[in-house]
Amino acid sequence: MRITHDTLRSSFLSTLERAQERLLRLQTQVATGQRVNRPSDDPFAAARIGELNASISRLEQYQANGDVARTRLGLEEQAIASIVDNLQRVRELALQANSDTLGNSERAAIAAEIRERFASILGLANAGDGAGNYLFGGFSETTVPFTATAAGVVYNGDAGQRFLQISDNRFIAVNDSGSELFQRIPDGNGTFTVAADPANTGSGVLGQSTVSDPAAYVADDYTIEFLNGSDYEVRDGGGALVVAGTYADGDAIVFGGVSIELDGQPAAGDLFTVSPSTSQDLFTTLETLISALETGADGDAAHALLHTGVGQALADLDQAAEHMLDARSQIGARLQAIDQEAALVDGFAFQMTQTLSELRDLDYAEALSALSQQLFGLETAQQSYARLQNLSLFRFL
Amino acid sequence: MADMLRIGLSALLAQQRALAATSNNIANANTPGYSRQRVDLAERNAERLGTDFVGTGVYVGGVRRLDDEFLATQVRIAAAEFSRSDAFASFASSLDNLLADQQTGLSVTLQSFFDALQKVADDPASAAARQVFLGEARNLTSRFEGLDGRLDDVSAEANARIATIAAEITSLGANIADLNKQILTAGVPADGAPPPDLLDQRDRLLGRLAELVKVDTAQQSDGTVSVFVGSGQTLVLGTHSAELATVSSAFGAGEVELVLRGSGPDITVTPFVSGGELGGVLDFRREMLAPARAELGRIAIATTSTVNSIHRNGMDLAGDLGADFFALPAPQALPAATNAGTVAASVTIADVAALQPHGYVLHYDGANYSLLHSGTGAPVATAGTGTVADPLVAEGLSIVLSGVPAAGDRIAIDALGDAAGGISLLVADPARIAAAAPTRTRTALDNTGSGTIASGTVFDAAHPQLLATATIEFIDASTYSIDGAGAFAYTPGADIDVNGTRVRIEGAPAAGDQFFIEANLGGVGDNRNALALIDGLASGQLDGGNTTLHGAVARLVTEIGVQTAETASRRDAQGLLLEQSQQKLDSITGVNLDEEAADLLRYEQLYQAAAQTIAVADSLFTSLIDVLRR
Repeated sequence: MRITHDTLRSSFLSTLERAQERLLRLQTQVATGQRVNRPSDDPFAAARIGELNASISRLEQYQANGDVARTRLGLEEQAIASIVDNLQRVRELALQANSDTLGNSERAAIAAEIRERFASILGLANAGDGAGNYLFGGFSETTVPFTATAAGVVYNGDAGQRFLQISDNRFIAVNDSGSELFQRIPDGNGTFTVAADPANTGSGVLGQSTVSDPAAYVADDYTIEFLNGSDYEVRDGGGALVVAGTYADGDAIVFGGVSIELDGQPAAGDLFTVSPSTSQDLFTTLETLISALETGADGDAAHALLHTGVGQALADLDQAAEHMLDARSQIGARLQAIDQEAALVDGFAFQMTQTLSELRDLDYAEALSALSQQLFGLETAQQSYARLQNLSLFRFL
Repeated sequence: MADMLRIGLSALLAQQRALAATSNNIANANTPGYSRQRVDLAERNAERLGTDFVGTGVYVGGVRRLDDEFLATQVRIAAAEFSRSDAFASFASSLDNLLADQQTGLSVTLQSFFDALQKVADDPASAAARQVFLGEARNLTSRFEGLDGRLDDVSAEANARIATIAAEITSLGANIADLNKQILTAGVPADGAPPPDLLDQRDRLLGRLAELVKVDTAQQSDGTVSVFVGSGQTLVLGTHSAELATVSSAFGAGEVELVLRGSGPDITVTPFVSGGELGGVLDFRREMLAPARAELGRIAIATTSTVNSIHRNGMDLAGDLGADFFALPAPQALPAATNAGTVAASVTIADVAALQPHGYVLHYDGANYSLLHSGTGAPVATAGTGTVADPLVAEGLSIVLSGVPAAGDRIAIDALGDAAGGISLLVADPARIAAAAPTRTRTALDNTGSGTIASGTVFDAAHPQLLATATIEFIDASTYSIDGAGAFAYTPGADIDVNGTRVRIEGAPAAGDQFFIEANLGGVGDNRNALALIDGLASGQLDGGNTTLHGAVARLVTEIGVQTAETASRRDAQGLLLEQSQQKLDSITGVNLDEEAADLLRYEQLYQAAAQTIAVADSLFTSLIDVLRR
């Protein structure tokens, strides 16, 4: 082909332009340390980088949520542990007060200490998270959950439970409402409760009551009535006779799948009731115990009532302690789940960061060698063009 | 001797002409569009001398302009293709990094918004978390607005470019017509060629024209050339040229249309024009800009309408039901200015998941309406008749028509194109963020069964009895009543819908057990609606629920990236092709200085030789005179 001078010039210029464009791209890559600087550099990688950045951010948020949940649950666990300690102390005090050797004033002193513990538990039930929110108010976090009134302690919160997202499909509860924790505690032995009629005149004291045969137990309000010192009748809620028996001191009264221990000597007309367990809140249990201890106990009948009352309170306290420990172990399980998910999420995030780096980051060795190669090529092209320019016939004319 | 003198003189003159042509070539070596010229020498007619013929010298047969119409056409085609890709690529690269920036890209902004929502869910009562979330929401709307504004700028830039190019095409057409006239006036010798400088000029103008738009040319026998654009619309015919003008579109919206304005009525040529810089800008506008704007609008609409619909099902810190969180712009329905009838349309978005990223033109043919894709013109299936009771429904849009249509009436419908820029935040008070659900549940404390009830979700916040306390009471272990009425069979874990709230009861409730659904007043620690928002935003919102918001953003980034990379590499390829055809043409028409130097030497030598001939003739003549003088 016939080559004109303009062809030489323009083809050299376009070669130069292309080389400079490649150099600019390499230079940008080296300067930013990133292989993909604009989506057109590698459209699929660019979109993937965007998605990975978003995913990593999401995973980091899960970690942050996990930290929030951990803090909340930690606070809750501490409060519950303190409550359990208090209950333990109350239990010891109740056992101590149950002794016949103590007089009214000594029992009143013990009642006073239990009242202190009561206040302490009430304080723990109203514990906050340090940011002005109450731990045990359910959704109503900013309302004081429990307030003491003349009619006893009332709950002002709700049954709400908040969940936080700690991974793509795992949600973890970060609170337990006061109603579940402090109010929904079954009384008695968890199946039924026994009580002595305050008007009893005998010295019969109710001891342990158990469900001896769950299959035979029918939930109902039963009445045990002593016809005299030894004969008794058990009637159900409708007044129908369930069983009639004879009692000797220390015998258990057994009927319909339940077994109730009785000590002492009931008098004719003494009544004991057996009713299905319902929920009793912790504060009511404590109040009952305190008022039982504060009521003066003079005489056998009064002593019997005291012992029955304290015995029932002890059973209720045990239920409450068990309930608290249950809640605590649930919190422990949640904390463990958070740690497990956090480890998984960490692993994902690490993998994604690696993938991101592979997609985005520059292989410096490769880029720098390409850069020097391009530079060399460019210099050579420039030199050769300059030499070519000297080749003109006019120089020889 | 007289012959020798005559012959020598003819040679001198001929070489002078040749030297002049060579000098002209050298002088114009760098002149753009110059085609080199060559002097064609021919021998003069011989004279008869008896039985022999004797040569009588040389004469200049003509000055030939070296060109090649075929190669010139090739160059023009390649230039049109290259300019198209070049214009497309340069506009495309302005969109390239728009959405994908690692700090300010849409994915990052969306994710920050989601993360802020998680922080509200972590601590719904916290004013700080709510404030951050509002900030991120504001950030999101301004990001959408900013992106839409940038696309608006690009669109305006494209429109301005189109107008400038059209003006240049008009002026080139006028110049070509003018040159045609000059060539006609100069007159073409029967066996010769028109003045080469005029041809060079006209070729240069045609070359420039081809860079602007794909043209067809036709050489006429009288030496003029006719130029056609688009699908055969005349720009230049002989000595007359038409004007390529820009007018705003019939729908009055942002895009400009191209019309060819000659002696007759204006002819709209926008759909027919292709190639060249003009074709590149038009293609960019249609193939890349409009779909990108629509897709951005679709993402914006999906994000904000999802937030709105879930937010309305929530309750704020004050105990009020959630309102709309974002204000969304209404879809556009613009009747064409040329409509003869009075038909108007009111368009609403009925189903975000069914929206498609493009606009429509509703066309009335005198009997029926048809809905056409605004980019491709392909028909779109519709249902309904367009009345209020039975709206025209297509691809997630619901269209209600009013007025009286005339045949040929058109309405441009666009629900997405401007949507991203029209979104604003309605909630200004952090306490108004509805992070809680409006209702909550409660289990009666004296229940004896093991039944538990979950917090429940609100699916119909508009239910008039939503906030009234409802009681689910078990008549026996397998039957329950709601507010004392009915006897419904109990299935553990099944949905129970009461007054717009959906709850689930599990376990074994006993007769007389009660569960309550009540207003969540004071439930400031509730994050259920925030969690619902997170879940709603993370799940598929587009393409019938198959594409998530992040997925749609990633797809848009990929599409723009692919188009940009593709057009850039096509431009490079077309550039090489153009270079090659230009070199081929140059090899015929261009000046090679070495060649000219050689010619210079050649003609100089010949000139000297011819001069020598004259000297010899002179010396012969002198010899003869001397002999006679003796």
